[in-house]
Amino acid sequence: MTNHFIDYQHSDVWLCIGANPAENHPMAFRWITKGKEKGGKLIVADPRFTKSAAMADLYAPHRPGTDIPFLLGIMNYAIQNNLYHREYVVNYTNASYIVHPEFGFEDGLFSGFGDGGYDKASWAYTGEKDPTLEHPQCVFQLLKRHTARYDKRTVSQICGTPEDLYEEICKLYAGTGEPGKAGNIIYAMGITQHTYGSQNVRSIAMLQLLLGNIGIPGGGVNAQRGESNVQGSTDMCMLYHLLPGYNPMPNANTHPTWADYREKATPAAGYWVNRPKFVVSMLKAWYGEHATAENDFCYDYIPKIYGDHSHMAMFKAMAEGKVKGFFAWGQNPVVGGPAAIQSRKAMENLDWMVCIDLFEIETAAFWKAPDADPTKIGTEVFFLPTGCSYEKEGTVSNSGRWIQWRWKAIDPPGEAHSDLWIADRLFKAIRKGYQQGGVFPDPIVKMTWDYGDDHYDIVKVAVECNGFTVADGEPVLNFTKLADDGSTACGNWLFSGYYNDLNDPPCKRRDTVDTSGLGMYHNWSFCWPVNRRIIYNRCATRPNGQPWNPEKALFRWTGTEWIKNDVPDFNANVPPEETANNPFIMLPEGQGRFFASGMAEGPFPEHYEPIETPFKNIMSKQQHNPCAKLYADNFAPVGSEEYPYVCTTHRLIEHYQSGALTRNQPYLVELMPEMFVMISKTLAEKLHLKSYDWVVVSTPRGEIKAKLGVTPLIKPLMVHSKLTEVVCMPWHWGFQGLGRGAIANDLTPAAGDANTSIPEYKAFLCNIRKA
Amino acid sequence: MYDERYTSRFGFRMTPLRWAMFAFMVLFLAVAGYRFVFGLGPVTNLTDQWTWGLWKYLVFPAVALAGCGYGTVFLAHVLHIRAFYPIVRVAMVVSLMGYSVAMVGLLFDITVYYNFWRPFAYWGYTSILFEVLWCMTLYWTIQILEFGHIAFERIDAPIIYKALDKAMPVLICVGIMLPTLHQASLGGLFIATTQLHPAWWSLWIPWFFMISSLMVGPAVVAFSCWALCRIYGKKFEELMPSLNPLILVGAALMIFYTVLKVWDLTARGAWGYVFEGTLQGNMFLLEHIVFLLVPLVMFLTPSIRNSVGGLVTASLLCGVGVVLNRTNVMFTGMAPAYTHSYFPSWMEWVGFAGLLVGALLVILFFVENFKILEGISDAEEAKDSAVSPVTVQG
Amino acid sequence: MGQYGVLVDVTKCIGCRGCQTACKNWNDLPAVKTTFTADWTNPPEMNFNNITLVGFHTIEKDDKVQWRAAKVQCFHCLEPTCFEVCFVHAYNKTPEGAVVYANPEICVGCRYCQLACPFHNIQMKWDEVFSRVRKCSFCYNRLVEGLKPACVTTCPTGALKFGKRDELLQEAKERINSNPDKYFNHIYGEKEAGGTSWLYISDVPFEDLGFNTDVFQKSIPKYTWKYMKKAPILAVSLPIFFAALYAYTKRRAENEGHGH
Repeated sequence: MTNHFIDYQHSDVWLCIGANPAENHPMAFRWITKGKEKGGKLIVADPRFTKSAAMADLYAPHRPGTDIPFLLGIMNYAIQNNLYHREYVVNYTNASYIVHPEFGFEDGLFSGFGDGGYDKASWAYTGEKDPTLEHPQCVFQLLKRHTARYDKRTVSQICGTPEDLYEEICKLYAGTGEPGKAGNIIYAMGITQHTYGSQNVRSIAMLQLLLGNIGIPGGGVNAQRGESNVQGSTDMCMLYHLLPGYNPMPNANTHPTWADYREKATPAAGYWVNRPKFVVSMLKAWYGEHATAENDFCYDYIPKIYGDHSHMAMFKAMAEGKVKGFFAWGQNPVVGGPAAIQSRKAMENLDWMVCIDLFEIETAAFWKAPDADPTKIGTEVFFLPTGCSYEKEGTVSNSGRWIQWRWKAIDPPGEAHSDLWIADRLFKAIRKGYQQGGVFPDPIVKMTWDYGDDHYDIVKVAVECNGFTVADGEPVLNFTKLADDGSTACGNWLFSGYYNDLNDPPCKRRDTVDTSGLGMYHNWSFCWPVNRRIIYNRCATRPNGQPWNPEKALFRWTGTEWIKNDVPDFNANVPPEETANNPFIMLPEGQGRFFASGMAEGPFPEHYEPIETPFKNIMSKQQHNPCAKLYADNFAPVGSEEYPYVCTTHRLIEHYQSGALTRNQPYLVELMPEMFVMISKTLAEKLHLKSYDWVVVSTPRGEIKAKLGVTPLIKPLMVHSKLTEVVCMPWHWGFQGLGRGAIANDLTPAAGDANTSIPEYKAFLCNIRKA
Repeated sequence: MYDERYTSRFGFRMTPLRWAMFAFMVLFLAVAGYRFVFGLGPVTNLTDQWTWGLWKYLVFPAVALAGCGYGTVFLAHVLHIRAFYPIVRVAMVVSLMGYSVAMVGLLFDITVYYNFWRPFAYWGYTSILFEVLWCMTLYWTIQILEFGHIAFERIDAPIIYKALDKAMPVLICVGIMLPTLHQASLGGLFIATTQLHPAWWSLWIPWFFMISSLMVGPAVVAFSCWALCRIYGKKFEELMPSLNPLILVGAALMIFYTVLKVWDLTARGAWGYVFEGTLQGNMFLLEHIVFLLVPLVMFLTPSIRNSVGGLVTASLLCGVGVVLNRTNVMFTGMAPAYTHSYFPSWMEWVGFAGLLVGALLVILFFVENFKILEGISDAEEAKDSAVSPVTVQG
Repeated sequence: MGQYGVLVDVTKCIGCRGCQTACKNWNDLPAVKTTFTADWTNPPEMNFNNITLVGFHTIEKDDKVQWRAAKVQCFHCLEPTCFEVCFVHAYNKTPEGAVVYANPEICVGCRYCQLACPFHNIQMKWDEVFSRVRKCSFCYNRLVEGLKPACVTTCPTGALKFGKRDELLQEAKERINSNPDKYFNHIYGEKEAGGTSWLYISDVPFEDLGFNTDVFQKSIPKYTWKYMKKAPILAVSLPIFFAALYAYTKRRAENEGHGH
């Protein structure tokens, strides 16, 4: 999130797309409700009439996987009707940048497409700018031409949203382009879980830039994370291609040495020029006295990636017998991963598996799945019971980037221990092994692991993450104090500052006094970076330092100084004109990108159909994302008659992720006891089905049996003049726990986004019949 | 039937039917045991909506029909109308057993049965049920004492008999007040149940309950006499002169009841509910036409009234009418407010039937061992009159 | 001291059912076994272990559909019928406004309270031999400690608002008046059963939320009490009247006897 939950109350319009906060982020809805009381309008776009839709002023049904046309259509509307925020666009974005003359776009493909993907040479800036935005090759004109193809009629045909309704939504949302108005786009997995999920997010960011909605109170690109600490875990490099704090993981081919990494992973401009300071400090934290300038701070000890090690790639390798051991730590891929039947089969090839969780979850019990034959599975499974978040101390980072300390309420039951306890023992045992010798023991043996002997001291962990000066071990104030000479150590630069005062650590602060008047609550926990509650907040004011909306003034330049209601994301010691062209400090160009050459499948989002779809792509000959990552070939063909219905998965408030925690919670099982599938009345009529029938839902990956719910909340969509039925199912159930049911992800395809490999859970094809 | 020859010991003739009835009572006792050990949940089909089921229902028709007691006693013992002397004891015994069934039924129905005494200690005076319980309990006690007066005619305990004999007038006066109150209050219970279908729900429902219990009394007495006469081979025709005026009193009350009903529906503007064509409307019509107006006309027609068949048929219709009224109030009229349906479980039926069968056996025993069907003679009444009413002197 | 109340604004309820769970949590009620329900209301109806229940309602009109959730529990009548009909005083209406089943130990289990509750919001533990009822107590044990009811505390959107009933009633009126196009002009609980501590406002008619709109609009105890007041008078006057009749007719009968 660029903004935070409490800030939602300042929005004039919310556009919820691919998110269902009323169901999945109820506390977010507290602030939407507050904002609605002040006259804010809520738009919800979703294939289902969700709980959020029920609260919306305007609800747009749209077909799963058609977010890009929906969003580009709004951009087109804003440009064609001159509703975009021109002053913002000219000053704070790369709209005026002139792009390489050879850059082009034809029939669904951008220039430079070849066998192995795109050659991005033509996607570069020329270095010139046209502040009038008239140059035919300037980003704005390119964007205008690109989005012009998404007129309301075309969008309506693709999405199945009625044209009039769509226009009404365009009008309402594009209205936030007026200076001083704030539009807030709220999204979640409905946006990201597609083979073009990253481009879906890009579309949101671009629309927000176009309407001047980033960096202002009530605005923002607000990803509501899928679990309470998923923000924290990505910050701490849960993803395979990252080091802590979003530093790229060293690559065996491009970064074999520290010099390579330092050179290639550090951009020429933007705040990331400080990357070496962050990585060196991280290495100092990891290897302490062993990390010296002479040995490149032990850079060589860090493993280098040499390919795709994402979730689906890993399970593919497992299926091929290349992966022999597996730690499933707080993760339940047997329920949560795509093509779960194939994943279970793949796990049978493991020699051993360690599962660390609260209960004996499906992953731990994969060998006794209903479709498994335990006599033929040789995997040795170790189950280590751990504590839930109330049974251990530590931090949880919410979607708004607030790192909040949580104290332990009770001890974990029985033999269960906190994850940190397990990690501590595990590391010490492994180190002990390597101390006896090994192929390459140094990365383990020389690692700093100084959190206490018998019982870890979590404050020591926190201080290491916060960063400290090596000389005296005192916590650093924040990441601006980090150095690349080995004088500082810091586990995660982004977290730096959250525990900089041992007596009053910011992440433990719980002051409900709001000095900003805008609900920023700077003394309630710590928000990365540097307690900045709204990032890119230079955009909150005009180039001259005057707020767009004086009533919601995050900053104001008095002529001599800045009046500040948040931690500035710019140099506040200089007059506004000096920072006006550099509001997006993380980017080398310092300005927001409509045109982003870093993306795998193109600098602009373009509509492609999901891997499984009933329809041909009417925008171009390019049916699917040309760069999508496919990890299997069991996909239904376009327009499949065998699998005629669009299927999507969703969540319920009662259950959390794969249900590992919640399906063992009697109260929650009482509320939502078993797996079900929901369809429209029209489909039920057509198939002679009624509520509570047992039905079989099938895809090329397999089939599941579940109870049917027939609901007026799902209605068929008119897509390309064809009535399209959508089958909706939650994915929280599995064969373990108190509340059991079929695994929805047995059906989902192993197809991933081109940039992030996130699986396409949200749009695929299925059939449904009476069991 | 009472036989002077049985002076030394009590007797009870056993017939195959009576053996069957006793066998059924064994089943009943088993069900009762199960109910008192495991509670209502496993035994009944009650739900949070249908929280008053067959056993609670039993109280209402049982007490209504037992209304024959106080009405007849009023006519015979308070108003001293000699014509009713021969039948007053049948009325009293039937009434006593009606109340006994109701009291035992209530004990079956309350869940925390060991707390049955609490209402007498914790005065929930705001509750109409409080009044019902007090009155019913007191009246039941008085009825037992009244019956004791009969019983001690043949049980040789002169002191008790004398004491009872002396207390009789007081007991009778208080004993008539109590049912008057609680017959009305049983209806009053339904003032609070505002979900009751508007065809029946009225602030006048207490008085409908009271009047209907009075008006059905003569019919119950007539039917009971007829039935007992048949069983014991006595000539029913001999009782007709006593019953005839009693039936006319009942008919008069039925007219009053009808007028009151018409007035009530008119005043509440509820006629629409009667003719709405629903189950409730139709049941209301059935109750009031077939089982109220038809027997009323039969009673008022001398040729029918004076024939045994006509009298008994009309009495039966009238009795069924009152039972139907209670059924409608408790079930038919409540149903629209509930989403559940309710049909009693087999154990509820056994409990229901068992209480009735038990009461019938007791009535038969009483009739065969005490002077019930013989009525009271003028001589006995004269003896009664020798005692002055205490209350009047006070 | 004015009575407390809760204002439920159905237009703000997102159906998260936090209240339903918080209620069970605070009152330590066990979970009950359920199965899937197509409308998601679960358990399908209130029971002894679910004394508050969020009901989901889809309202279809023309081509549009509305989806509303409404929490139901004891509405805490200003003049509670359950209190009035209890013949052992097992119920209490506290000065704070809570209607509490305060003395279960003396309860007889007659279930008249269940039958008479105008909202059918009292539940019975049927599966126990000496079964008793349970109902929402307005979290009376929290109220006396100065805390809000558990359900209100947990509500994320402010759909439940706790306060003084008269102030809430005023606020409900203001909300409706300031947004007459949105709200349905009816404050459920203002007049129902003579007024309840819990007040509801909604943008859909209350019958669409499964509420009984046919409920008696006046205080039911007023009527039962009107009847009960007569009982003592009758209890005294009737025997005297009967005794007089007794004496009179007896004398006449004797005279007639002498006449013979």
